[in-house]
Amino acid sequence: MTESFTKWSTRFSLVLRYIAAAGIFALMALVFVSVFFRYVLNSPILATEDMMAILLGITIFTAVPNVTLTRSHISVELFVAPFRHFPALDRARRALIDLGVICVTFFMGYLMYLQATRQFDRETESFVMEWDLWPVTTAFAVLIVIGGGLFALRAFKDRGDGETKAGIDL
Amino acid sequence: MIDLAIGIVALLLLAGVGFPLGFSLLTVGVAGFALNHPRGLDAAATVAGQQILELAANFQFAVLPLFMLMGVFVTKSGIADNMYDVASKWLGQLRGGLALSTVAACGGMAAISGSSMATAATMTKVAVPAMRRYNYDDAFSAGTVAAGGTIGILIPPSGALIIYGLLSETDIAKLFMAGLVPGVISVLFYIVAIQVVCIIKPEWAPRGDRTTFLQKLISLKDIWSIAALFLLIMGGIFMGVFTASEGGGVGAGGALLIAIMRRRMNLNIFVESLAEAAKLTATVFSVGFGALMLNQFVNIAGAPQEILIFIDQLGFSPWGVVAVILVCFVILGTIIDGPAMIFLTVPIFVPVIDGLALPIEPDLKLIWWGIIMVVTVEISFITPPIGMNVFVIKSMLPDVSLGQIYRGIIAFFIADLARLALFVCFPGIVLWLVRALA
Repeated sequence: MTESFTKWSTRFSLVLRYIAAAGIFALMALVFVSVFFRYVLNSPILATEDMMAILLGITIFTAVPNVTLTRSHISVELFVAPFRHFPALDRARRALIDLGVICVTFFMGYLMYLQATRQFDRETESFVMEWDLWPVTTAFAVLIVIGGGLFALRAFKDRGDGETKAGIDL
Repeated sequence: MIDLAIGIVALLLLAGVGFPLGFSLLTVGVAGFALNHPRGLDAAATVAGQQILELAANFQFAVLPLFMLMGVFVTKSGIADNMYDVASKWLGQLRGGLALSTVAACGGMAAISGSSMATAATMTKVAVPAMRRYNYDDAFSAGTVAAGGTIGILIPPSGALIIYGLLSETDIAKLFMAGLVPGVISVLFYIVAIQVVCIIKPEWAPRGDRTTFLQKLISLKDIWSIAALFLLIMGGIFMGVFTASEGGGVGAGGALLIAIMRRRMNLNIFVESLAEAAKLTATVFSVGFGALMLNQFVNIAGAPQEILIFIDQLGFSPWGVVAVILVCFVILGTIIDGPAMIFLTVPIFVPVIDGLALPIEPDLKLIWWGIIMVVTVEISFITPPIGMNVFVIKSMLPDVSLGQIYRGIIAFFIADLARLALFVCFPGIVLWLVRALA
């Protein structure tokens, strides 16, 4: 049962990874082409800003689940060393952190849902094309919740054994 | 103020036990805001949602993923080998020439990759074997690469400057302008440090091979495309032809074309690069969400004003306050890695710096501070016990001990402190290009 869940979640995270990759590529291509059209053809592409904003959001919210799943969030771990001497305590610490990550992820999904409902009520639209924004924000909320669900499965499987990969390359 | 103090302690505890930094910032930010607002958690949830959405779906912030993508493409295109080859042809025959070449190549890589650890990792592969061939001291070789790599986050385009710009709402194009001169000065300071080491310990860094002027000129053909790309992007941004985001898009597209022209790109590498850049973007933005919420908590708690009143009561001059903050930064940099330091300190210290009566134009004060902050972050990349570049190099050179690498860094660390003092005491150096182009 756990194995089939793992296989399923791995496939799903792979799909999200490709969507994130497509999102950032589309972002690059859009900016590149819009600069070309504006300066070379003297004909700016309409609504570049709106599309950039949406693509940025898609890239981020499809990539966040992978960051969470691989435990690659930036972490500081100042006081972690003493825990290493007590494996059971360290495992409990990791399990609690995983639980916290799941809670915060779902909370972020809830925050996005709140924003989507506000946008729906206020009929918030994008700057240029005046597209309704609530469907996009709802999609972001769904992506965050999916990420939280996938990580919950991973955390259940690891039960405190998952290692964090702290740090980031700037 | 007491709320903020409790919040910071809670933040350190949460992040310190390994809870992701972004989630720690968000948790403390939301809780602190809720406690300070009459509408409590409702208001905090609304503000937190707005902050996340404003950061994640704002076209102006597309600049970060685009420059990150450019950095990934450039790293994958294998340009580092050519950079080092060119630098060693021009500088190799000097005493300590290969170390000078390493620093120069790091500066060149920095100008296009914007990444510190990637520069250090790439240069370790390229430069250390060459220095070993010429009997360079291992500690000095590793130290040179570790220190040279740090230049990556100061010379534009720089990920650290973009993050600072996003968090402090400072003009990223002006930050890039301001980073250029200090970046070049950093390279010069490292060159002086190498020369001093060569005088004290000549056996550490012998001369390399001589090359003719023609060979030197011919070597430039391998890097002209990257130099042209850098000039196009920075020229475009500085002259106001592109916005910073557009510069990033053109840079990423250009870097992709260069990688294809150099036959270093296939479908697998291409998809991997995109996925890597997307993941980096998500990592940074998820901390950004938390940092912005902490910012809201800091503001609603009235902390910047209270800190300024507190400082006023202590009787420190504005420069005294800057000195105290810098000492805090250097100490903090020894225990927290650089990017985390930016996220943690910008919401707290930027309003304080903004409120100080420093002899700098109000609209340029935060530009200057951004550069100072990034220079301290650079230093944190090579200071023990958590020097990220040192760890990268150690993982790639298992036969060189951490102690040896830190020994090789000493000269560069002194050079770092000297240039930090220079940029603090003479803000005009940092702001010269911004003022000239304004």
